[in-house]
Amino acid sequence: MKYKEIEKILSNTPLAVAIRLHEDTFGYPPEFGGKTRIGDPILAEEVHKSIAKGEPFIVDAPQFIEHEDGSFTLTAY
Amino acid sequence: MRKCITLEDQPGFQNIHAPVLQQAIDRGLSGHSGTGKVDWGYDPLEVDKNPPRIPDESNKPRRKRKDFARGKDESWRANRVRRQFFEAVEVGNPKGIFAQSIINGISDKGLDFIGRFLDANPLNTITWHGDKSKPSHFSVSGVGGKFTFNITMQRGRSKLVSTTARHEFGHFVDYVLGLMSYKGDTRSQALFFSDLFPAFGEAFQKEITRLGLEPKKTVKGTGKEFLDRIVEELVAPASKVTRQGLVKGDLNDILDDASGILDIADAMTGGAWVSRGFGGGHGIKYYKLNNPKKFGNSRLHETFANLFESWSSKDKRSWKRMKRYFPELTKVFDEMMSVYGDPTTIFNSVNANAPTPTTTTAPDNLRLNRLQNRPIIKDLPFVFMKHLKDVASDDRIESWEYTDDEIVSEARYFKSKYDGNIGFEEQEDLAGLNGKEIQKTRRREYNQIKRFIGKWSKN
Repeated sequence: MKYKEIEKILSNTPLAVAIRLHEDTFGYPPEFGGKTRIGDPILAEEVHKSIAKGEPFIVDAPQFIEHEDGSFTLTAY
Repeated sequence: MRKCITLEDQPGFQNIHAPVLQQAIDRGLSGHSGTGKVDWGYDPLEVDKNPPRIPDESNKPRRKRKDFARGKDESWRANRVRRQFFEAVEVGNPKGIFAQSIINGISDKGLDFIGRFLDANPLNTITWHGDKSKPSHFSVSGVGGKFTFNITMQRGRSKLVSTTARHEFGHFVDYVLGLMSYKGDTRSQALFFSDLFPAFGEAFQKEITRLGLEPKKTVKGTGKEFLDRIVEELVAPASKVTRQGLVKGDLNDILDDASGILDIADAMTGGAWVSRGFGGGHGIKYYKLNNPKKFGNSRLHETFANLFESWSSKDKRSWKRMKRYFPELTKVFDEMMSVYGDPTTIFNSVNANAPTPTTTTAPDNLRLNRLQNRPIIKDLPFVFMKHLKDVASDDRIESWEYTDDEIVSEARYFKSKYDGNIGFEEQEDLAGLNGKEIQKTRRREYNQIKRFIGKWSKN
């Protein structure tokens, strides 16, 4: 099966629809911060909620923070 | 015939606190038998009509929680892991859910690895949340060479949670192996094993070259052919699902099965998969390399976590798929795991042997860098590197502090474990007495060490 045909299926998954709408609304895609699932309907709902509020969907996901007391926090997603 | 009993002597009598009932009994007994008086331990007449409830914690029905008690047909390995996770603080879900998620999807060798790993380096906290916009992650907090390890999980479907749990645990393993193998050096504490172990980075780069994933003008244009091929091969069954109108879950399962491969491809291309806009992968911003020598390379970290997730999976097809798409990477990972995955390997605690902060001047650093990165050190076969580190630890020095001659001499001794006169277990393994798989691994190790000695011997 050719990629173009599968692309049609993927394009109609909930998350792909939400990402397109986000791009159309704000001019750029949402930023998820960590690992996402292809077509994830639950995350798609969150993106739609954010668009409805007029806010871009951007999750801040810092990877390394050095604190003033010399300690650090390291995160991998 | 009536049998008389002494109420006060009955078990549990002193715990009764029911004044209304007790007053009724007093009235009933009055003038009939015995003294007609019962010593209740208090005067029921003096008690308020509605006495305060005395909570009795021991009898309070509780929400059933999973604990480390061995489940039906549960192996001792699974039970050990359940017990180890039970030691961690688990918030936001009944205790034991994380352990169950891990156990649900993991192979026996994965369970064995995690059990030995957690023996030395326990996980401190597991936090669950229901915020659908916040991703699951592994985090480590450190100060003064002491580390606290945490995994944060988003609640969800059990199969997916199981995969995610192993992915986050993979990050935990990657970080701790880094501390364990390179303890005491002056590196940044933001680095993982995948940053520090040269063979891993080299294999990653080789795959990029082999698969034609070098950066193009745009991220989206990078690795187009390879990504199209993965989709055609792994996501194609999705069309059958949609044509046959099967349940949504089937489509999600197909997409989830492809996600580990696509996530590595996303890392290799710096976010080319994510830029297609279907979800999956981590993203362009996440993979932007910002001073990787100090902050590490998130592309390598994610690749390691995805490989661990697949290597430890109960579903053997998962690792086969990985091998098919990334033969170089899986080979290096298998080599690493031939040591760490060996049931006889005992892990060190990184907190017990935590590196102490050292102050070195710039020339010292340069000298150290030269010593640590000299060619013979970079060329150490993985299995011998581990041995050398153990020997160095006994000598209370770092492995790179040995001279080249000393390293070759130790390598000769190490080789004798495989072909010498003393009966080491390596010889049994090499002779195939413990199975073909082990024999294959030992043969590979033996050839590596022979090649190393041949290359670095002066005579």
